[in-house]
Amino acid sequence: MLFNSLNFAIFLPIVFVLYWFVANKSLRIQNILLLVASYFFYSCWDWRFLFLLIFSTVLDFVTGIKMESSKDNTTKKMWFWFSIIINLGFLGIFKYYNFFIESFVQAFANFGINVDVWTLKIVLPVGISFYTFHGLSYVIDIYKNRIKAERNVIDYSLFVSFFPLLVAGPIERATHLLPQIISKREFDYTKAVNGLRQILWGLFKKIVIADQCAQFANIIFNSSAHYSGSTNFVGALFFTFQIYCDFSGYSDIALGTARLFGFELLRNFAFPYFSRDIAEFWRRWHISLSSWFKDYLYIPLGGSKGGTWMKIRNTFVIFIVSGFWHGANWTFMIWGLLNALYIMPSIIFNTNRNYIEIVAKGKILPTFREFFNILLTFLLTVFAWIFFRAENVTFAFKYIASIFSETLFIIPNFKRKEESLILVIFILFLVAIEWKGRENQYALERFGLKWPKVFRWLFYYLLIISICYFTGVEQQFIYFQF
Amino acid sequence: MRIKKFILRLIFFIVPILLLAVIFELYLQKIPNDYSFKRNYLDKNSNQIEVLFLGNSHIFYGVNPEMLNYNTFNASNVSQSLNLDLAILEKYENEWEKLKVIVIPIDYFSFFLTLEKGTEKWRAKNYNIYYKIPISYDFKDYLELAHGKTSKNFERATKYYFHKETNRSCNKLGFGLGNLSKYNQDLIKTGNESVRKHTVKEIDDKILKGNLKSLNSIIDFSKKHHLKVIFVTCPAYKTYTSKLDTTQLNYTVQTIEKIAAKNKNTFYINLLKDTSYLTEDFHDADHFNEKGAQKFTLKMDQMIKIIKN
Repeated sequence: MLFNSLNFAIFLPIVFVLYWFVANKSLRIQNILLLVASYFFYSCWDWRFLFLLIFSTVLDFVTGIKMESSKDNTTKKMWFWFSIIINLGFLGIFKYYNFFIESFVQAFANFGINVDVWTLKIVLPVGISFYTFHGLSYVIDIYKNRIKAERNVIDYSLFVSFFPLLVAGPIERATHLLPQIISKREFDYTKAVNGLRQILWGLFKKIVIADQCAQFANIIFNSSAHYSGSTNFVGALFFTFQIYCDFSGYSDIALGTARLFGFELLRNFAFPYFSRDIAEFWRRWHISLSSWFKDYLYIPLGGSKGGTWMKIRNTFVIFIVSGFWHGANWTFMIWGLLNALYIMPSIIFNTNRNYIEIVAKGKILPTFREFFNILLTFLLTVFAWIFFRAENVTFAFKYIASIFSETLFIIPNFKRKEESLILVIFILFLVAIEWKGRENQYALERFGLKWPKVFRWLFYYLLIISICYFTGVEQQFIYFQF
Repeated sequence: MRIKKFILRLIFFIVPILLLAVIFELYLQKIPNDYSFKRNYLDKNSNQIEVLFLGNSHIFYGVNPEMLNYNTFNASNVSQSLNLDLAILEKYENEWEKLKVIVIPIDYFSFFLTLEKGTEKWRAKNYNIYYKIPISYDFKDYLELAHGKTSKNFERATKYYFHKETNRSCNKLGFGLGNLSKYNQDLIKTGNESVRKHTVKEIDDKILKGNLKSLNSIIDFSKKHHLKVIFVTCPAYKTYTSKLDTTQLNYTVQTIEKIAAKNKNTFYINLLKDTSYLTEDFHDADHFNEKGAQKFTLKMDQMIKIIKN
């Protein structure tokens, strides 16, 4: 069940009404209802993988309790590694097995040796990377004595499987979400309206921008060899907006939906394309994953305490692992590596925390220097996204080579070019609204709140009409494949 | 109380949008298309029809009843599978007063695919909405708005309500006019594409049994109403026929041959590799253009005349 589907539009109000009107007498019943709804939501993709999700949940739940009740460190450590190995083992089998086998066969083939190793017909369970990371953070936090083990299996299962975040995050922390799960939740009118507004903005980003950008990006990427450098550059720009609006749109819907049930999820995006350098970009893009890697990988590796070389090494490690987390393909690794290279100057010269606040805070426009920095950072990410979008590394290099050819300076030309002009107008509208709302949690949070109600509603209706106009075949969210 | 206020305001906000959607849906469903046209035709004329063509796009674009001098109607449609042929026959069961012959294509894929399970599943709505034949329990298959892009639906509505352009693509006796262009498409490319689309990787037993059951029900129906049935495997171009999976093809041909031999009122003709159809007869690798349709219609005419007499 996709967030942008008619099924979800029916599912959500039903769960909402049951939650606040039928189950509202007891927190326990509310949590059971949300858990059942979440499992139903998940099983709409493939009910067989529900068992894997339940197994992973039970494993970490039991591990948590066992670790906490261990009398000696060895037993605790044994349980810890038991859970880590099984969790990563599942992730490895489902996500990376064929990749490693194929890479292994290819490596031998390069030396003229034919190795016949069987690959598996594996379907990747949706959301496996996300819920595995949920579980891992929980187990690590207990092991490090940061939190107490949860003793209620329903509450813990809901922490792992809460449907708004189940398939593509945000990657939650037990310290943040579990206390909300075990506390009584009261309906908050302002929060709920805020949630709806965020859902609306998320749908706009997904359906009006991301799905339309996808059409043109696909047209150009699929026939890039026949297009000029300028057209291929436009294709990369379309993909840049597609990936942002797809994933941040998903996150907006997830956060908004959670608010309807009284939950505050971790923020996942903070206007990353307004970043002034790559370090800032990574503090604003997929925040829940970046902070996960920072807390559970970068800091345990020594973080920035061991001098410049250790910082460099650790930065490379987390970016490569982050690339690999996205998928079993060398393109993702190079994407990670490229981002690590981008961020290196600020690591070496210790300028990576230069831009903490949002750009031009309290001002209408950025300074020329800020604008130049934003543009440069944006262009760097555009090139990195080419690796993310490409089917293989060779394709990505050819694509980039075609951009840096003499055809970069001719007028872009591609199929349905005229139709793309309407999209460009919508993209400009998006950028304007996001710029205006950049000091808030999401662009629409306070937009138009001071307007007369009739204008505000009219604005929302216009957004809804544009969503309805462009809606059609349900397009899966890109991050569902991770 | 706050939640009641929230819900009331939300309803108040959403009602205009829902109303607009309902009105739009109703207007969309009123735009004439092949399915509504065929249903209306059968509602009014089923008691006059002597020869009825059913089946998929091979018949839809292959048989023009205007060339035949007996009362004939082409009730086929793109991807119309055997269960739908049966459903159409049964829908008008008490009205086929003059019906003598039914023609049904049994093609390479006929036993292995159904409309509801294949890539053309989206067409199921046309039977639910326009034919009033309920073939799907998914509520979305009863809504035009749940299929295709709203922008395209908007375009369709504008064309019809402002320029009187309908979505009907068949002539007044049900022959599909979409392939009239003299220029054929890339026969190699379309051959490969169609073979890929029509070849099943793994046989779905449920679908196979369902299709055989539908076929037997059609035969029972024809016996009950004293009808003759012609099963035909339609001609296709060599770029299609040469790449077919022999197991799937042999199973199809052998099964229908056995069935035809067992039932005296049924006849089978296999024209798949008929060499009288040339490159210039095809629109794509497995569909005729206007010229090919003429040839095929006349061939069917000969068959029908023999069988009728």
